[in-house]
Parts: sequence; structure tokens; C-alpha cells
Amino acid sequence: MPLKPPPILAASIAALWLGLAPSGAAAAEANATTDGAQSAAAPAQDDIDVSALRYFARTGDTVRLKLEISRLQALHPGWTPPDDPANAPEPPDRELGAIWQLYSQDRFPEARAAIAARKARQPDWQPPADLLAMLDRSEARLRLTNAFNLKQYATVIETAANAPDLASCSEMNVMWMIAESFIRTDRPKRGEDAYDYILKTCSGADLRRATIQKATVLLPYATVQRLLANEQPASDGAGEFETLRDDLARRFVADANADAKLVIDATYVDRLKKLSDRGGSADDSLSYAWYIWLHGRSPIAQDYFARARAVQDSASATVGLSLTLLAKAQYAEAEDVMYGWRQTSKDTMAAYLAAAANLLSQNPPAAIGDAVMRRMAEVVLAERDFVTAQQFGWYARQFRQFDTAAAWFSTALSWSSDDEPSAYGLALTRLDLGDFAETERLRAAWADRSPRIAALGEAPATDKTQGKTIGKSQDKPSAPLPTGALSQGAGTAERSAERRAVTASSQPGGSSCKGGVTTSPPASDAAALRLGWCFMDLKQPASALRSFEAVAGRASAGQLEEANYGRALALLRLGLTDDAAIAATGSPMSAKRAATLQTIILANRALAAFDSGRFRESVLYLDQRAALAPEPTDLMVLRAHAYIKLGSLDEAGRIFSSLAAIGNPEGIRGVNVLREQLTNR
Amino acid sequence: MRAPMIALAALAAACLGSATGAVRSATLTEAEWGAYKERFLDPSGRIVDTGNGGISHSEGQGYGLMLAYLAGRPDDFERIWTFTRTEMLLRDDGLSVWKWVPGATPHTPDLNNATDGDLLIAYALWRAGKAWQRPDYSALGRVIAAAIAEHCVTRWKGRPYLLPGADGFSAEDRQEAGPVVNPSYWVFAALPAMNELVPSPLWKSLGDSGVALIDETRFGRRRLPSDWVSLGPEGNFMASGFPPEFGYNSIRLPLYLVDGGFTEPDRLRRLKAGMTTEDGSPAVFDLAGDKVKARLAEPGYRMVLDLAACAADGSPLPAGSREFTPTLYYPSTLHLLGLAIVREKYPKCL
Repeated sequence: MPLKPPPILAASIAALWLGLAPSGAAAAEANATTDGAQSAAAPAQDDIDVSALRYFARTGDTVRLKLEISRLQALHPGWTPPDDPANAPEPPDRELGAIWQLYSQDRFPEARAAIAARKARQPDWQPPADLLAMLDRSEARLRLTNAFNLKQYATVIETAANAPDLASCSEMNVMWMIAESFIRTDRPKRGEDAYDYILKTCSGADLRRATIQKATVLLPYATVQRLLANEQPASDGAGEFETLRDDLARRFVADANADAKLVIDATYVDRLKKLSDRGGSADDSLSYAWYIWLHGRSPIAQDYFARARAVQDSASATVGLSLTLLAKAQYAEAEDVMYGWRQTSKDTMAAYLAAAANLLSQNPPAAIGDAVMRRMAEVVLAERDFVTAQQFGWYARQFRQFDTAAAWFSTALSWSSDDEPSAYGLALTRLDLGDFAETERLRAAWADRSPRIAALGEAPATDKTQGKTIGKSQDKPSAPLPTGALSQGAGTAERSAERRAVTASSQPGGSSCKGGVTTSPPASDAAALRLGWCFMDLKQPASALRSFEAVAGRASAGQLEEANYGRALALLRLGLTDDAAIAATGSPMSAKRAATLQTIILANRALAAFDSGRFRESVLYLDQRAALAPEPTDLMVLRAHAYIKLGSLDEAGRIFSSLAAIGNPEGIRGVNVLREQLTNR
Repeated sequence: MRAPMIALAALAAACLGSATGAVRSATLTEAEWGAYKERFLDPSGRIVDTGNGGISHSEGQGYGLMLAYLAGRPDDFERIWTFTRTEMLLRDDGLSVWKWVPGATPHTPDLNNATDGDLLIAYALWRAGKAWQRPDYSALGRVIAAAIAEHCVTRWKGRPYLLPGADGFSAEDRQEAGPVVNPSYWVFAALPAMNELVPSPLWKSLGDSGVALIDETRFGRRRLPSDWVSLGPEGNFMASGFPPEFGYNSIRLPLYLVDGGFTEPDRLRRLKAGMTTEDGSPAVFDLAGDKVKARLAEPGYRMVLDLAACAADGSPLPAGSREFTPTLYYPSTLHLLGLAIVREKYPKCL
């Protein structure tokens, strides 16, 4: 025997989950299934109104005929239907027949009106109890269905509670709606009870399977497992729910992919694997791949992601594949597969940027082609992704492109002003570039938040040699970057900037300004010179100029040269380029210092010329300067803009392209601006 | 003289009884109800608004129930009620969905209620339940009355007001200082019935606030209330998002006042004068532009003016209002309701 509760119990359950005392109708349904125990209560065959039976038989309405037979059997235990219901004894009441006809055509308001009209006309007439019961039941079914379709679940449950005999195996649709209404009004246990009642009480393989399917949509994994325990053997010997199991496996694995804490039975996972191995759909392979990736980071997942992509490429499969590639440190491949899908969603963009950041962060640095470099930089700028921008900074530092590095760190910091690693990178690079004032400014701003930035300020400010002590391998992490919590469809990937913990550099020395600037006159020329450089660091060139000039008026030859050099730099800082030029040429100075001054002077003149619209002159100064020292990127940008003003777009384009190739943001912007200008022509 | 009259009345009751099955004499005649029913009552039990694309609404169902009751027709009452209960009385809060659209899926595309419809339905259930000994009607009317009190009443400056619907009209829903109300949703006669169903001082206060609202809300040269009124801290104003008009809603104000027993002649005369055009017919008025928007020629609209004149001044009903000929759903409904009021309360105007 299949699992079936004692009938009384089943009826009690039906009543219980509706929140009712066991009703007469439910009890009758229960009693009907108990063999012959109540034979004493059986009425005479003739007393039973078979008018509905006859009507349904005559109209060929076999569905309602069967319903009516089972209803009469439930109502009158021991009663057997007539052999020929269509020709059961004819009632004399044709008007009643007409009312039955209205009922059978679902014209309930008209049936009600006809009953009321007749009662008003014949006050002693009583409509048959079964007609009223069936009208009540049909109207309740209709109202319940209408309310359900409007998501008025309280009305559904209220209607069901007032029509308890609705909840029976012959009203499966109604029972499903009641169950769902309980679940959708936060009473999942009542919903489960309803499904459980159906599975323990009702037969009909299709309806039982449909019950499981409905429950699976609405109830969590563990609850559905309890309901599945009601499985009965089908005629072929297998379980009756066997044909559902593939879909159940798909469903539960998907649930487990969405909820990392959910543990599901391994048989479901195996089933999905087999579906994939047998050449299943891309979805099956994909879901399986995500499952084994999310639950144990299985490297096999890569094969299944790839298989899913081969059947049908998708964002999810590509993200999965890129994660498995990242796990194997195949960053270039990850960047490459994600690039085409980056725009699809937040997740795909996060996956792409994670791949790009990892690619940039390798040690020793990866050789990255111009095209890849450029497209990564374009995405980072468009997305304002400070994490990857910061990685661009470290990458540029590895190639000693300090201007580019500073630009990237500065960009990263402008997008995320409290990103310490970017601030550290910027301070370190400014120091390398000899921009002590800016280093000092960053140090002051970050000292209380970052010991390593605070420590940077202790470097000797006058040490202008681009810090050989700043270890190339020390300022950047060597371990591959973690890939964050990218998961299939589960929210946005979180990527922490902190994962790129950069070790503090061992910058030696102390600041020339250590201990602050005193107002008392310096005790010696050496002290006065130190004070001058200190004022320079503090961006107080006028004070610096006074210190240097004081020394220049009295000092010995060695100190005089340094004083003159400092004086020229202070004048330049004050924007007095011509005076600086005079100071530079008017005093003995080492060739190196003279060249340094000259390059600054020429750069200032190029800028001034550009600002006053003398572009050809600006290019001339830049050419002169280039003869003395390599052109830094900011001046290359200036040169390119000057070319644009002069109409030499090709030359400007070449400069921007070469800048863009090393990931310089200005270069990339310039290339785009030129491209737009060309297309707008 | 007395005895024959009684005999005549008994005979009339007996005739009506045999024709309609009513156990009491009816206020509306078989012919009047028959004509109305033929035009506006679908056999399925829904009252069809012929002026609005054949839709039905809870207000129409409420009117239909009331007219079936007044016609002494428990069969048609049962018909309309069965449709209303199974097709419209679906909301979780016990109120009726306000609109039913033939050919739409679902037939009830808008879940909101209309409070006047719910009032009318509950009122009709109460009257029929009492007259026909149908405690089931009264019990269902009680559920609706309780839901109205719970979901469709707001307070403003210490007074209770009927919200036009459970959703979308309160100050919070509108994100405005005060709620939006519709003076013509006060079915004054229904309020004492609500008090019978759900006893509370609220219903009396609601009646008072409704009359005060009508008295305090006067716009344009005609000094009439608009259909939709915003209650504001500095006084009432015509609600934004609605036509600034004395419209079809407000036409029924005198009828509801008279039916509810608010028959102060000055108020009725003022309203009647305000809503009457020079040719004697009522109209829809643009209160912002002080213009006539639509003259209302149907006798059912004229009936409202005649009822006001009858109640205020004892003026006899003109022939056009005594005779019922169906036109469109809404004026025809007002016409029969007006006739019933005159027959029940002002037989001297006949």
C-alpha cells in the first residue's frame, strides 16, 4: 500500500491547516473512505436526491457527474449510484431543473435569482440542500480564484475557511491556491501542510507531480525534501517523481549557487553533471560549473565553463571562465575573454577590471602589448575604477615612468580620496620626481593615517638623485591579487583596494625641515642654506629667496654656488623666469646644475609662450629643452596641444598615441579628442 | 374614508406581492424597475454604466442593490449581490474593487476601492437584511462597514473625513499638506445604517463633517464645491490633478443631503441655484473659468433639482420627474432614487 494516512487523520489535517474545527463535510469525506463502518447511518436509496446526477448524465457532463457521485457517496455512505443515472426517476419539478441548468452553466447569479424568486413566490418551498451546497462551493471557488488572481491572499484564505469542503482532492487547483496564499502571507508551514495533505491524501500521478513542482517554486530546499518523502512507486517501479528529478536537480543546484550556505544532496549535483556530460544544455554545464567552483573552487570548473561557452557563450560563463583563469594566474587570458563582455553587467565589468588589475600587478611586470594597455586604460578611465588606476601607477613605476605613475596615482586618488595605497604611491613617486613640496603636502595630509607616508617625509629633501634606495621590488606586491567574491548572479563583486598591500619603502634620511622652521637667524651659512631648501619644500619661495640671497652675499665659493642655484630655483618658483635666467648665467655653477636650471627655464618659457598664444615659440623652447634632457610626459602633452593649435594634427596624433601606449590618461584623452575632431570634419 | 384606503393599500401590496414575490409593498413600481433592469442590469448581475463604455463599478452595484430593494425584488438583489461578492468584493481588507471591465483580463485592473460604492453596498445590505430577514446580508454589510471605518477615514483639523479610496488620497499618499476628498462620496443616508452595523460616534461625526465640507467649499462665481477638494491648512481648494469643476459627481449632492435628512432649506436653495442654468437644467460647471461645460438635459438630473425644491419649499414634482423613462445609467439611477425618496418622505410633492 502506498503511504496514506488514516482517513480521519487526513480530514483533521485538512481542517487544521485551514484553521478550522473538523467540519461535517470534511468528516464526511473522511468517513466515506472507511469501509462500511457507518452502515447504520445509510439512508434509503430513494431518499437521496439524484436530480443533479440525472441532469449531468443527460447533458453528458461526465466531470460533474463523477464529482456528484463522489459527493453523494461521501454524504451517504453505502449509497451506490444508479446504473443508468440519465434515466433515474424523473422529478416533476421542471423549474428546479432549469435552476440546475443555470448552475451547470456557471450562471450562479441567475441561479441565485431564480431560487430567490421562487422562494418569494412559494414561501414554503425549500431549494434542495445539495443545490445550495454546490452553489456555495462554486461561488466560493470563483471568488477564491478571482482573489488569487489579484494577489488578495487574505481573501483567498478567508473564502476557503468559510467553504471548508472546497479543500478536497477533487479541487486540486483550489488547494494549490490556498497553499500558495499561505506561503505568500508568510505562513510557509501552513503552505507546506497543504502540500503535504495533498500528497498524503490525493491520488493522480500528474496532479501529485504538479504539486511537487508548485512547492518547488515556492518553498525552500529543505521543505521540498520533506514533501518528496511522500513519493510513491509508479507503475513502472520507479518513484513517481523520477521524471521530475532532472528539473529538481537544476532547481536545487541553482538555489545552492545563489546561497553559498545551502548544502544540497550530492545526488542532485551528480545528476546535473551527468546531464552536462551527456551533451546537455549550456545552462546545465554552466550551473554545474558554478556549483563546483563556488563550493570548493574546483579547477574542473574551467572545463564546464568552457563547455557552456562552446554551446552558447554568455556573460555568466565568461565570468566563470575568467575566475578560473585568474586562479591559475592566467591574467592575460582572463583580460582577453572578459573584454568583450565587460559592458554586459556590473559583474562582468568587475570581472574585467579584476583581470586587468591582476595583469598589471605581476612581478616581474608582464609585457603587455600597446593595444591591451590602451583598452585597459580606456575602461579604467571610463569606469573611474581607482583600484586598477592605482595598479597602472605601480606598473608605470616598474618601468620608471614616474610622470605617468604620478598621473595614475593622482587620478586614483581623485576618484577615491581616502585610498591610502594611491596616496602612498603618489607621495613616493613625487619624491622620485624631486617634487619635495608635493611630497611634504601629502605627508602632512596623511601622516596621521599612514605611518609609511609619514615615514616618507623623513627622506633628505635635498637628495635629488631619483632614489636608488627606493627598491623597485619593494614598492609593490609580488603575490597575485585575490579575485574577490565574484559569483554567479550574486550581487556585485567586492574588490578591496587593500588587497594590494604595498610594502613601505625604506627611504633613508631626515627632512631638512625636521623640527620646524625657526624664526631666529640661522647660525651659519650651512644652516641658512638648509633653511632655504626647507622654505622651498614648504612652498614659500619668497622666504627661500631671502635665505639664499643672504648666503650668496657672503658665502664661500662652494656655498655660493648652492646659494645661487637655490636663488634661481626660488625665482623660477616665483614665476620670475627671466630673473632666474640671469641668476643662472651670472654666477659660477656646475654644469649639471646649470643644465637643470636651463631645462626648467626653457619649460617655463614654453608654458608661458603657450599660455599667451605663441605656439610656434612654445615648440621652439621645447625643442631647445629637449636638447638638454628627455621630454617628460607633461611637456609632451603640451607639445601635442601646441601642434594642434598650429594645425599639425598628424604630429599631435603621434605624440598622443605614444603616450596612450604607455597608458598615459592625457594621451588616451588626446587620441580620443583627435579622433572626434577627425570624424566631425 | 379611512377603511377603503387601507383596503386599497392592502390590495396594492397583494398585487405587487404576487407579481414580484416581495413581502412588502415596493417603493418603485414593477414598470419602473423593469425598464431600468432591462436597460442596465446584465443577467449576470452587474449594473452596466452605459455612459462609460459598459463598465461596471462598485457604486453602480450599490445603486443596483438599493433599487432592487426599493423595487421589492429579492431575486434581482440576490443576482446583483452574487456578482458583486464573487467578482468585486475581493480585496484583502474586505472592501470592493471599484471597477469591473468587460473584456479585460483580469476584469478588475485597478485594485483600489471607491468608498461611496462600499457605503452604498453596505447600506443596501443592511436595508435588505432587515426588511427580508436575511442576517447573512447584515453580517456581510457589517464587514464592509468595519473596513470603511478602518481604511477609508482620515482626520483633518479634528474632524473625520471619508477618503475617496483606501489608497492614494491621504495627505501622506499625495505628499501634500492635507488629504483629497470628494463631497459627493458622503452617502448621508447610509451613515446611520453604518452606525447600526458598527456602532460608533464616528458615523455621526462623519455626517457633520460632510455637511460642513459642502458649506465651507465654494468656488467660482457659482459658489459651488468642486468634485475633488484638497483640504489645506489655510482652507480648502480645488484638488490638483482633477478637473476644476462642479461635475457629474457633485450633481447628486442635493439628493444625498435630502435622503440623509439634511434638509435645511437655505442650503438646498443655494445649491440648487448654483447648479441651475438659465434654461432651468443643471449643468457641469468649470469653476476656474466660470463657464458651463455641459448642460444636462436628461430628466434624471432635473429630478435632483426638483427633489431639492420639494424638500426645501414643498414644490410639487413636475410631470417630467414623476414619469421614469430610462436614458443613461447615471441619470436614470438618480431619477429612480429621487422618486423613491419623494414617495417615502415627501408624498405631498406628488
